[in-house]
Amino acid sequence: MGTESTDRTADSELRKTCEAGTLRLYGTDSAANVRERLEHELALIEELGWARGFLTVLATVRAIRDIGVPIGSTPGSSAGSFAYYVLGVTDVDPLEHDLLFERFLLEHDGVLKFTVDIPFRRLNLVAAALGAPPVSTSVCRIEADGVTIGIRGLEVLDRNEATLAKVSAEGGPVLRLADIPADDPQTYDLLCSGSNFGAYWFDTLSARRMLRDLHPRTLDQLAVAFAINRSYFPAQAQAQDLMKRVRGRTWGLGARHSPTSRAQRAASSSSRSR
Amino acid sequence: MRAAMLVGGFDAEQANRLRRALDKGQAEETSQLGVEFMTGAERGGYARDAADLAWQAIGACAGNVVFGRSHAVSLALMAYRHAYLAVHYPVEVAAAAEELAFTPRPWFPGIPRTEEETAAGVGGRSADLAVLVPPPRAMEVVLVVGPRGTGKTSYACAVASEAAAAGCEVACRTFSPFADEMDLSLAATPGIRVGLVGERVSELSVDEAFTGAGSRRLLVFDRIDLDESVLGSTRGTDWNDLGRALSLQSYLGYCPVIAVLDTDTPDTHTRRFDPIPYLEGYCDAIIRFTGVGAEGEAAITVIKSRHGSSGETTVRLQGF
Repeated sequence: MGTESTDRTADSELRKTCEAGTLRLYGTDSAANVRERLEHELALIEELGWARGFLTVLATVRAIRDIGVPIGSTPGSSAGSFAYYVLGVTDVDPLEHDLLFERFLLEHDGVLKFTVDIPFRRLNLVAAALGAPPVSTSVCRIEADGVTIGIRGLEVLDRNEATLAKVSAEGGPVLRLADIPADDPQTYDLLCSGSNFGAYWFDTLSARRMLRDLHPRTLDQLAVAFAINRSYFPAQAQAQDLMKRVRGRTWGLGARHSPTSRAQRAASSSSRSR
Repeated sequence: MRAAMLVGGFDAEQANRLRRALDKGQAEETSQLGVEFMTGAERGGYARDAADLAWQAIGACAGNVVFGRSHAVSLALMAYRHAYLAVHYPVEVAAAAEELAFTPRPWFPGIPRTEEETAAGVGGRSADLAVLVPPPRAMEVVLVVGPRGTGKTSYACAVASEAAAAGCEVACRTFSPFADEMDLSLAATPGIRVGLVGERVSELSVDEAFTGAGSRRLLVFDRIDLDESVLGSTRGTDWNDLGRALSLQSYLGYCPVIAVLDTDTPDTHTRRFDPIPYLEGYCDAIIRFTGVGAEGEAAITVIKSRHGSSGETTVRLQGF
């Protein structure tokens, strides 16, 4: 990493950029928890000497966007950083989803690592723009000053990018992934229907069955479903049990929609009213 | 981590040590942290029983893949967005999938277009697809596997005939025109459309396959050979691409799919990999054909069934 004076300059620049980002997102009246979280993170970043790393990540993400390549997601624990969120590096709000910055810090063992997902077919374009050699795998790694940056190509992002291009080219709205509302009931209906073929990561038989049973209706619940589906079976059983308890009486909507159980409910309701 | 912090009074560093110890199966470290957890819980006013229960719940994660919450939220958001596009822009999603099928990638050379296709600009235009999306309903993908000459195609033909006789519109994709058992068996059957729509699953246009004449639909793919000229793949894990393609066709056509897959094709994939583990997640039922007796009875093993049954049995095939 840099000298003490360059570190101080980086600290100051990061703070200034984060404050500008907070102003853009929250206006002048940001809530106390927003200011506290940002101060907490900036203090830790300063203590660890990571400000230059954060700025390098920001510069990399901007360079990718500048050549017209959309950012898909930031896997790993990066979404736990509020600083990344206000910098525009990630589009997941850690306050909204109760994500720990400490999980992000401690995972890295003193070395700042960052991974970003982009459309697969753009991988070598991005590698060239960032001065890295072409890759034949799905990941391009860049060693920056104190930062390891991984750029991962995902085909689902190719599909999303191509779809959005077609929507606008054929007279539809000009959409960005970030514009997509995270609470669309029809999308959750599809995911919970058990017939969501083609819905990336959730289209396997086990995932479809699990979504039908868990019936997630929010992004947080969908994230739990995702984690369960990607875990081994014992964890799935435990987590499903947990989900049952969390959801309480609303558990098992799919089963209750069946004609038999609806008839049973009607019968039960009429017997109660009598 | 959050549970250890809330109940055991751990700070973030202790909670992360616990996460690592559980993840890596470090019994000694876990045990030591367990003592610290119980002490912290007692200090926090938790009853011994409640703290024990919490510790057991945390310990149940040991040795399992446990996702960080931020990782899960980030990737779930990406999957949700893809589903959103499939719901609100299904035609464009289908066109994008078709366009990508023609795009070369490091592990996939892309499907070559014929001169006519290139001239007509076929592939990747929403207008080429004109998919109608009825309300979602149950769709099933049935995979029929086995070596050549074991009756797989005859089985698919029998199912197709039966479906057509029951008023179902059946579209069959054959491997090559007029040189395939399915073509010969079914071309003259009323209600069944047989056509060469390319060697690859992803080349099928649903509007080309179905006319809308039937009240229900069935899609049959005969002989999905997995040599490199068909799948275009050099990696075993890309069996999943086939699974996804089958699922996608089912999704686009909102219909059940029967796919017949030869497993003795002289290609690198079938020598090195068993396709079943890779395709299982994408199929609702898998039937392996193992041989045909003198009486035209095919021996089959049901590997996976939507009814949960499995085992060996025989089926009688018509016209084999």
